[in-house]
Formats: sequence, C-alpha cells, structure tokens
Amino acid sequence: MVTIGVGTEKGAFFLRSGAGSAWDLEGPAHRGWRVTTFGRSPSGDYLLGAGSNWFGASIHRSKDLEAWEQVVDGPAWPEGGGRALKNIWTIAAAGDVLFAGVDDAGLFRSDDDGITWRGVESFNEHETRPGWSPGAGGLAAHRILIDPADPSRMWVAVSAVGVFRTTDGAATWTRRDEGIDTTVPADEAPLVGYCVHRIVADPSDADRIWRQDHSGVYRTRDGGDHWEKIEHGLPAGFGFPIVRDAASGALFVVPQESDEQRMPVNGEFRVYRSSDDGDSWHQSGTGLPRGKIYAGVLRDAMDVDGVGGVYLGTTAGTVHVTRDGGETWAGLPHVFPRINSIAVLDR
Amino acid sequence: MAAISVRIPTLLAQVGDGRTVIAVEADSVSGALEALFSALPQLRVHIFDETGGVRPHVALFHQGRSVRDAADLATPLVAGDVVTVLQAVSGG
Repeated sequence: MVTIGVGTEKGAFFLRSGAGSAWDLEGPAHRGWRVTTFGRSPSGDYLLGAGSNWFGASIHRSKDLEAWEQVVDGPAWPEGGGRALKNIWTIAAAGDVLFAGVDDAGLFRSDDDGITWRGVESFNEHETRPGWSPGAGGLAAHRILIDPADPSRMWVAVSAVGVFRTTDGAATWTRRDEGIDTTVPADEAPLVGYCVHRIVADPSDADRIWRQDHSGVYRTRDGGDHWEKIEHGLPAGFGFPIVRDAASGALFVVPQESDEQRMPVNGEFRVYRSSDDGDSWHQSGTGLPRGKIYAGVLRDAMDVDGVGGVYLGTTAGTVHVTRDGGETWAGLPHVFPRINSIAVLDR
Repeated sequence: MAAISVRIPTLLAQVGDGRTVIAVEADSVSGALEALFSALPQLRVHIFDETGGVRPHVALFHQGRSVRDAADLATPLVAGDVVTVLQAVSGG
C-alpha cells in the first residue's frame, strides 16, 4: 500500500492506495495550518512541517498519521538575532541524524530522533551569508540530499543563493554552482544569487544530480563541481520540481513559461520525461487534463515511490498520478487547497 | 495567585491539547501566559517570536482591552479575569 502526504495551505491530507486505481482519502490534519513538507524520523515516526502567517512554524510528529504531537524543542533561531523561523521546508534523515531546512534560510539537526534540534552553525554562519537574499518564495533552505553510501556527503539547496556541499559531515560547506546561469546580471560569477528550485540525485551514485533551477534544467556528474544545461525538447526551462524514478531512471519536470509568467506554456499542463539522463525530453504519456490549465507545481509538490509511481499536486489543488513510470496519468477526484508538498510516506 | 482563564484560538488548540479555554493561576497577563506555557509548552513559539515579543499578528486582550505591548503584559489580574489570545485580523 502506498501512502501519499498532501501538504496544503490549509492542512495535511493523506491518500492511501486501495483496490485497483482507487485512493482512500484521510484528513485534514492540522486543519487551517500551512503544511509545507513531510519526513520520517530514524525510528519511523511521521514528521511534518506546519506554519501560519500568524503563529509561526513548527515540526510535528505522529506514529499513525492521526494523533500528532508538536516538537517543543524544534528548530528555532536565537532570540534577538534578527532571524525568524517562517517555514519548515524540508526534513531529511541521514542514518540516525535528522536535518531540517528552513526559512529564514538555515539548517538544523537532531541527534535524538527529532525530539530536540540545534542549528548547524557551519552552514548558518557560512562566509557567504551576508550576501544571501531571498527569492519570491523567501530565503529558504528547501532541499537536502544525502549520499546513501556516505552520509558525511550532503548537498543543501537554498533559494535564491545556490547549492552547498559538504564532504565532512557538515563541518564545512562549499557552494557548487559552476555552470549555472545567475538570476542577476553579473560580469563574473558572483558568490551567491543562484536560484535553485529543486535537486534530485541518483541514489546509486550521489554525484549524479539533476537540478531544476530558476534559470533552467541542469545536471552534474561530479557532485556539483560542474553543471551543464539539459533542455533539449523542453518547451521552457523554467519550473520548480524535478524527480527521478529509481526503477527506470526516468526524470520528470513540469515546465512553465518563464519566471515572469509562471504558468504552463500556452495553458497546456504537461509533464516532461527524460529516459536518457536528461539528454532529451518528451511529453510524459497520456491522461493529464486536456483543457487549459494555468496552475503550476511547486518545488516540493512532486514525489516518486521508486517503482514507477509519480505523484504531483498543483497550485490549483488537484493531484495527478502515474503508476507506470509516466505512460498514463490519472487525476484524483478531489480538489485541495493550494498544494505545497507531495510526499510518498509509505510504499 | 488569581484563578483566571486563558482563551486561545482553534488553531492553537489543535496543537495544544484540544482545549480553547485553559484555567491557570496568575497575577499578571505575562504570568498567565507563562502558566499557559507551563501547561502547554508548545504554544510559546506560536505566541512569542524571536524578538522576544508577542508575534505581530497575534492579538492579546484582557477584559476586552488590548494588552499585547510589553508594558501591558504586566497588567495585574484578579480572580475570574479572562486573557484572550486572538488571531489578529490581518488580511482581506
């Protein structure tokens, strides 16, 4: 059975695969709260990030997706330090350690299954920090990749700053954006200002990373030392999510018409798939709505189950699913609030 | 110490223990909040922010009067008083 978390502007919903193509719907949990991301703790507890424009952000945990308990000693910036915790954008586990990426941009870690958290000073006070500036979605550390073969190697994506890599267990960090177009005019590559939207890695070779950036779609084969643009066949380079189906190695993106428009090109809502590591892209299958759609998919709102399932949620609140690696898509009958996050929680 | 009530909005009750009215004993508004946080420590980050003050879009009332500023937080309480935490009207 597959369980999908749907994090929306007004709560969390859960979809469980039933018989055939049916999905059972549960929730909402955290009704009225903006649910921004999901995760699992090393012990297996479910985690989610919830926030509110009125009441700030926090992490919550559950053993059954029904009863939730707020983490009291969660990520928090020091009082009087000038930074505010606005959203929990990502939660990732590296062995027995949990990491959370947040807005205002920063990285926090927990060594006790998510009970208590502390800032990762080497990252949060990085020498480039004075130059960090927000994108339209805020100044957010929103994606953490961890090498399954060597958890001391990690990559953290920050908008609108760039990708940072550590190879020594988060002791030191270097920015890795060579080859990426900057989002601001510059005579030479600036220290920061690279608006990464999403990165995804090959779990069998963590140095192979694909990147949906503000400035286009890229890949690296050397852990971020060099990036190359890979947009052959795409109607536009702009977009937010990028995922990779481990079973087939296929990549999926949802192109949008420029950073100014941020809508499907010509109102045609299409997922594009690459079956050759990004060398070329083609429309993914059939079954997506044929009418004009001007909704998008946010950076955390597409996920995979590793065996051909790809799940995406739109800013219009609809969810679309393929279980055969992108050959055929189906829409769910529900309409949710604006979807921030889609996560495969069980499979 | 006076027996008083703290009313909190539904959103906070959800991350608390479900109650929207919490009975505490306190001599001041700030004391009432500390008593609330003693019972439900997870609520602190939702009412105070990193400046150490009440969040900009959280309203605090005592007997119908706004008491969100630092000086007002010292307002003394008597038995039966009600301190209300509200989601401020911020938006259209």
